[in-house]
Amino acid sequence: MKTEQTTQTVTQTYKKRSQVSAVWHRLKKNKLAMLGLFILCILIGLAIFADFIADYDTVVVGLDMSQRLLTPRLEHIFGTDQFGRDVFARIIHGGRLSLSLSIISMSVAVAIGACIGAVAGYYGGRVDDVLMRLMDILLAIPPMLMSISIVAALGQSMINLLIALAIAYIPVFARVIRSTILSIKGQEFVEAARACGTSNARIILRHIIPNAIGPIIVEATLTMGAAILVISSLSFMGLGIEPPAPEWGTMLYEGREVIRSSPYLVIFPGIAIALSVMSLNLLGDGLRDALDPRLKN
Amino acid sequence: MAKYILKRLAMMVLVVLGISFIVFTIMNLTPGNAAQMILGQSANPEQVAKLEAELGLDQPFFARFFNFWKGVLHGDFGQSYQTRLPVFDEILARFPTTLKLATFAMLIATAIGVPVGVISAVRQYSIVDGVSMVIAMLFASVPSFVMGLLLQLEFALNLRWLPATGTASWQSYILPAFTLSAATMATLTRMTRSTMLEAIRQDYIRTARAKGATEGAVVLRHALRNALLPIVTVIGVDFGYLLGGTVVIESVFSLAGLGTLMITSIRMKDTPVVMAAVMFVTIAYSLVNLAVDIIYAYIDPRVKSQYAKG
Repeated sequence: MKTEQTTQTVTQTYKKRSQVSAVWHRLKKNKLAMLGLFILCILIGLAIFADFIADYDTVVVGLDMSQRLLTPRLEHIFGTDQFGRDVFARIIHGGRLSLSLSIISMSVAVAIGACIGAVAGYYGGRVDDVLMRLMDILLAIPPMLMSISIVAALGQSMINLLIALAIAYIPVFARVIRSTILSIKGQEFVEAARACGTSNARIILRHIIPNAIGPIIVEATLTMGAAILVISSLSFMGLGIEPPAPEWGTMLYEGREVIRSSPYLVIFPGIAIALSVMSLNLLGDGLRDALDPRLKN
Repeated sequence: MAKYILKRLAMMVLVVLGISFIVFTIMNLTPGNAAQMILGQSANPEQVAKLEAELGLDQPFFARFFNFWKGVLHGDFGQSYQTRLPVFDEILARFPTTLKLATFAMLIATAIGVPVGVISAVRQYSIVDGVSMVIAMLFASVPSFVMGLLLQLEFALNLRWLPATGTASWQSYILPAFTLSAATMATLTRMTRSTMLEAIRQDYIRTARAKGATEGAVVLRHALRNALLPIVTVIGVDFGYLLGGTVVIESVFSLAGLGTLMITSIRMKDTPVVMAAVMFVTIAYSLVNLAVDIIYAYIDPRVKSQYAKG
């Protein structure tokens, strides 16, 4: 019994790894995608260890008027803002905020979108029509306007921002998953599973969704970049995360007042946003190519 | 063809109804009493109840939605909580600025993005291709408001070539429209390049060359014509992002468009104004998409023939 179980796990991990490693192999050849992955890893690393690099209460939100508006120098490599806070420390903690917010909202959108897309694609017919028309309607509202209306109705808070982004991106994932499912639901292994008497729910969860994971990852990577842009834009307009939190858009909003004398207060957070969006875009594009079956071998 | 347009129009009506329902629902989630908000904290309960009845706020949700639509069909989008003036007038006064900005941005993006994409594809792996791909990557990643702030700093505040804010002259549109166009320009360049690369490898291109067509005719008449479909789709989809994106750009360059109206209205908790503005922009976007779909059918004989027979 025990040996049988071990053999099973071994074959399973072997099978999984072979597919993942094939994709990884192709991705490794793409220099731009690797650059994106490298930058992303640094950004995530800095976000995770932010507390070891700079203390939140004293350096990031603590005011020190004797240190106002210092230009970049050795002890403050990105300078300080008009409240004497270290810009580098704020950018690192801001990264923690932007990355986690975009990951959470994207995950919620994936989870809900996957269910809707899977049901629509698998059952087809009337169910598909109704669900997809609904998604079309949601998709007709640009994410930025959706976020603005939710923030306007529910008030300005981090949770509302999360809800807004999640709702705005649900249709994107529902569509991706639906189209993947339409392309695989006629294949033999699904027929085989159905012939074995497997329930619909089990077929969707165990056989169909695993096959749709590739396109989901690609779309999720690109969506995270878009979500970071929306979060920082809303904060910049004063509708997102409120000061003194070190959100990148909020920093730009504050830096804008002194842009003529201290342009670095706008430039550094701007670079931070651009780098994270760019790394996600590069990685997403690379993954899309690596997962493309036409490019195999 | 008429059948296709009719079908798309019917769908459009459905989408517009859906959008308005969603936005209406979201706006009705607002915690607190709207009438109380208009009258201020000092108002007594009788005054609040009177105003509620006056504004129809005491009626059930669906009745209010129905009334809202009845008003919309008569050109009445409700009245502002703050100014008590009709919302529609304010929106009509500000919409041209937003529309102009988005349209200019789309024109700039297409005028630069498509030719650069074609050149990049025809001269793949050349210096021009490399440089334009790097610039496209930058334009896609730098947030519009950062680019706007930096362009404003350099060209308006330091060099004083262009006005920094307002809409006094046509020059004041240059910086905002260019800033807004950057991301779409990047998408269009990359899209044009990749579809052109695919088109160039097709057999009909070889045939065109074989029959002795000039290189220019091959690229423009045969390759670009076929690569145009995805490009038109991108233009349609991105127009929505431009209309949404103007909100940020208007705030950077202090333009009196719908975006700045939305932001000030959110700050003053003026829900009807926000709702009407969001709906207006979204419906404008749906109309653009409808137009794109119809144009699409005209340029793609495959779509056309599908409906010509039936």
